[in-house]
Amino acid sequence: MNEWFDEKEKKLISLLEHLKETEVDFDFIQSFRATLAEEMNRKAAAPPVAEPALFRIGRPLRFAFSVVGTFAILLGIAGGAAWASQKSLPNDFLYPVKLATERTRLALAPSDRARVHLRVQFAETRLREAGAIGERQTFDPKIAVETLQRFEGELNLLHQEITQVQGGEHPAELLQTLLTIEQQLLSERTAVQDLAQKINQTPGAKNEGVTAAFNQAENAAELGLDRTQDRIFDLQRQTGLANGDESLRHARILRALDRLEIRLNDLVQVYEAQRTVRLESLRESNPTIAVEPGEIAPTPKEEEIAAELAAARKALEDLKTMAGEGNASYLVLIEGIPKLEDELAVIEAKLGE
Amino acid sequence: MKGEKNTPEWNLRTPEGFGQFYNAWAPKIWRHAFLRTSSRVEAEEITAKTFLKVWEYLCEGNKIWNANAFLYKVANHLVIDFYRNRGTMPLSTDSEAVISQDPPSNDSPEERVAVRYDAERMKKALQKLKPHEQSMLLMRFIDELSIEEMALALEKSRGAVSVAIHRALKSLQKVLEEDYERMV
Repeated sequence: MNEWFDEKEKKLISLLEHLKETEVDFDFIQSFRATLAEEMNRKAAAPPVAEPALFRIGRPLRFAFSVVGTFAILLGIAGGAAWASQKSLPNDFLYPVKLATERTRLALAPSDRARVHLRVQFAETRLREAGAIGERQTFDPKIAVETLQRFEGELNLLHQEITQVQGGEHPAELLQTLLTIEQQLLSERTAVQDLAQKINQTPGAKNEGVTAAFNQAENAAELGLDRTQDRIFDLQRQTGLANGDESLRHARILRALDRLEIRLNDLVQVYEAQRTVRLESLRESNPTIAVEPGEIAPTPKEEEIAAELAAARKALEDLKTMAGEGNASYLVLIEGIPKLEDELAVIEAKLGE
Repeated sequence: MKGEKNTPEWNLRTPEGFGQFYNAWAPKIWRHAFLRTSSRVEAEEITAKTFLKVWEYLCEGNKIWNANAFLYKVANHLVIDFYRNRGTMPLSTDSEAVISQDPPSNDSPEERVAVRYDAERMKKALQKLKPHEQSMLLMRFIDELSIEEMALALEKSRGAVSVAIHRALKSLQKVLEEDYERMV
């Protein structure tokens, strides 16, 4: 151990070094090696600019994996294995190749839009795989959980990428992409719910870990849908385009209003909890006080927040009425939603002070 | 840390040489990415993108002075992107997955359990550190990069890296103490 670490630090370092025991996914690493080889053949290295292209490499972590010889063999194995792996399922021999091929396709996606399409597609593939696992004679909960976690992982990444994907010169095309993704996510959310029910009814399959994984998967689908719909609203406001299926537009509005209502109810609860805390601290300082929360005069700040909560509630009810009547302009409704979101954000900030 | 002996020299501009480089370093990059993101899917993606980017960089005729350092520089940027984009997204349940290998069998069962517990505790504590603190500790003590390689990878001076490592250890100590107090 280095001399410049004190005893406490040395102990901490020796504990930290236990992390070297983290199990590495060698299946993925080996499979990706083959798809990397294919990419390398496609894009052969340029000759060096000035110096010989030799590099000193230090302290590699070695593992027993033999390097395949020629370009042709590499290409053959990579190409053939990638193709053959497409129908493989978790725990099949070629499944790691399938996953590695997907990672390569994502890494090489020509645009953000292409990447989000691929994400949703791979998430759908994971769901189909989870379904197929459910139909096997022997149900393996560990594999089901891993597959659902991968589904969740893809959607969590989609959740991030959807906010960044840019329309550039073609916002209408991006809008169309997002509308397609929205429909796919709606199907996937329903598929997760249906699959969860089916697997719960499969003898021997009901399992706490699997149930938790299904809940996480459903949450991920919901979050992905929320984020996609937010972007759809943004783009529609920017472009003035209200295209897409009418019933889906209506469902999207109602869903957004539901989310706003949940958020508003949460803020009301926080406000009331803060008033209760204030009452309790008043009682602690003066035990003779015998008043109920409703009888305490609000502070100026509390009055202000109460008024803003009431205004937000009215605005929400107006939007719900407009949406319910069915004849309000869609674009008017989607202008009202972010305004209300901003008002709730202001209230939230005040409650947090 | 021990000095270098018998370090291999590979021609990274050929698929074979780059393939050997990949064989040697991909497991470390995967582990580094997994410990920082707690997500298998993200670890796979960071690993794939890191090596594809490095290969593309070489294909464009660029020179790389220290391949290990450059590899970690690319991987670190990808992990930073992950944190930047993550927002309030919940961590994947993968975080429960993977400290599963048994330590050497001459340890007693109690020691094996203790080691696994320590590893899990460290992993959770690491997750609470800032991204640059995580990178300091993982690169130095798990991936075993030299201070010089870390300085190249992180575009800092050697002195700054040394100081940052000590600070990261202090932060880790603080997190562990706070976790202990919460348990008691």
